[in-house]
Amino acid sequence: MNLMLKEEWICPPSLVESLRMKPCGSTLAAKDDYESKTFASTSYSSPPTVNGAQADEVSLPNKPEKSTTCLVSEETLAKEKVKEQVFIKESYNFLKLLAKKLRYGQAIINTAMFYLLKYTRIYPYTSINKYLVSASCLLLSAKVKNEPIPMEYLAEWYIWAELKRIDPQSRPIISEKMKQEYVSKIQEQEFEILSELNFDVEVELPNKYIAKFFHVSLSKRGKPNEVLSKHAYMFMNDAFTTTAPLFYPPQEIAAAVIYMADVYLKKSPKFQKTYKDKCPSNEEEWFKFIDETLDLKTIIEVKDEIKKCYDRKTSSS
Amino acid sequence: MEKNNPEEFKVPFSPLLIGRYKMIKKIGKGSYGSVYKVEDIKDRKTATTPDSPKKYFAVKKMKLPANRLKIQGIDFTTLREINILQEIKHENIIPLVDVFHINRSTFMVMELMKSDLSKLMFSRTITLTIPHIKCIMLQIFYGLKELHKNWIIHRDLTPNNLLISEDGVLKFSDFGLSRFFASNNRPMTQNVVTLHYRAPEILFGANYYGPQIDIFSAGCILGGLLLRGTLFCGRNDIDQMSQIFKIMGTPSEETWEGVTNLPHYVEFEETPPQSFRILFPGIDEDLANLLEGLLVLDPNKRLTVEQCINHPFFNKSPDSCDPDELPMDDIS
Repeated sequence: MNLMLKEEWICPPSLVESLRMKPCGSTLAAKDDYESKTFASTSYSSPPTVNGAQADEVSLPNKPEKSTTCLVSEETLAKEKVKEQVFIKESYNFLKLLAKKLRYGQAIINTAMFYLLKYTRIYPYTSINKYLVSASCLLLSAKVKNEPIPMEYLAEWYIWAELKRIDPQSRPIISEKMKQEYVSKIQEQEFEILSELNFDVEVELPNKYIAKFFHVSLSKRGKPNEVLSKHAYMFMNDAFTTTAPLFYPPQEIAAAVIYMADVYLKKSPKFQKTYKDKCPSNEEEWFKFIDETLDLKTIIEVKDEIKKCYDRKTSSS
Repeated sequence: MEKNNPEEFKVPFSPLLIGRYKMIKKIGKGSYGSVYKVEDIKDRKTATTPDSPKKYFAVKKMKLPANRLKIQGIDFTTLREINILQEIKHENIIPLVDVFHINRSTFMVMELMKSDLSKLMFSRTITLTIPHIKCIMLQIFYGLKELHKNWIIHRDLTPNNLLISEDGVLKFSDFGLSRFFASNNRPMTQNVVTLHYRAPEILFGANYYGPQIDIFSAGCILGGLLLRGTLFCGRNDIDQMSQIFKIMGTPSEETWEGVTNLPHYVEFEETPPQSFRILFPGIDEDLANLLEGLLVLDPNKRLTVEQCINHPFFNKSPDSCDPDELPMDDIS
């Protein structure tokens, strides 16, 4: 199992470029973290790899490109973005599996996902063990959301999920010693995440704004559309498998997922006939119900960002 | 980075915390951990003049979580306290300067305060006049208003947790028991608030309670300020209840709807409510009215923070004094 874990620590050559990925229209503090911390602590010539031997290998091919203005071709950038998307998706799936076993709700998963995304802005995703970090993030978010769980429980399910992931047919036997080892591992990781997040654990989820929109529309237009709200929440959960929550405030995410749900319901053959009245996009400036400062241009921008998680899915399958 | 370096986690407990805060002495201890007075070294080096005043802070070292609960890692009450203090910035709430961790114990750097309300309350040499009491109570209500506005119940409002700065500004501290209300419908624990300041609905074991429990604690503090001692000083839960009912009267279905359905409801010998004007001879009608409103047994009939601040008691002369006029010099 240790071998399996080690694979995650290997740093690909294009690591430094992946850090250069420009977030579009960022408004959150995460961007500042992303730029100041990553570039201050991991200077260009020394990528934050674990082993010195690998570090030399990595930095060499990058040197010639240093002088040019465009550091990396668009192709590599797009590839890196896809890789990052895969990474996020895999950690999300693992987190969801773990949360299901521990009976945690979606709010805790989304909060944990937010911590993970923020953490990957500081440590590049290629240099961290995603399974360990996701387990620690889940532990942290459960504590913040007031539903703490014994560490040994989490460690047990963590080992179980890890073994299941490697071999789905296996019947894992977990020894006490193994458990203790993982408990201390997760604990160390938790403190590291906390100090990297600067002990700032408050996360504002878009749930609040989606609920506000349907509440306001209830008073303005009569009965809210249940199908629409259900799909909006579904899209919101998917939004946490992209980096969008880091770069856009929750109001914009909320508006974007309602917009997405509306477009989806209008096009899907299943709901096309029944879903007609009371759709938000028929009404002008429907997003003003959520926040006064929103405009359609940014909403479409956010929507495109969230949509990426589906694009990759279709292209790979 | 020192990601894999195990020595990161073996930093010895040195008198200079994270190379910045120099430990001077221990100033307090509680169930949460201990408090130290520290000097900020980093600030003094960057200052232009060498004679610039030294900067002192209080550092709260949080205890490691109890192992019997088998919840390890950072204690979730510590996390909650940090979370709340970072969210709320108000004059009457203690500001959090810095948080860091050494060797799995968390340290919180806060402003250094001169004293707390209990010293002022129980001191035999200080006389508290009505303007002083008005000033103290108004500051408590302003702090509570800010908390309740943000959907937070303090749940441990005692004179020990109300710190006073040198200028006489009251600040709430110790949010280890605080929680957000209305966030989810999970039952709340009854093991909150120091016994002498505990509201009757918690004593009766109610699973759901609201910000009214803070108002009851504030009422106990007001009574304590008038009495210069503890208002309800019970030895255990039952004794505490009987002490409250001796003054406020025994609750019944008529005065408190739904009281008999509470989990730990016990019937007491019926006593009629007493007037506060007999208990504290010499206080005026508005003050007695306010005390009664704060200590009403039924939480739904208790005053809200807004009503307390707008109470006629605070509008009448003599006016409340300024915070710096509080008798702070006499505290030893």
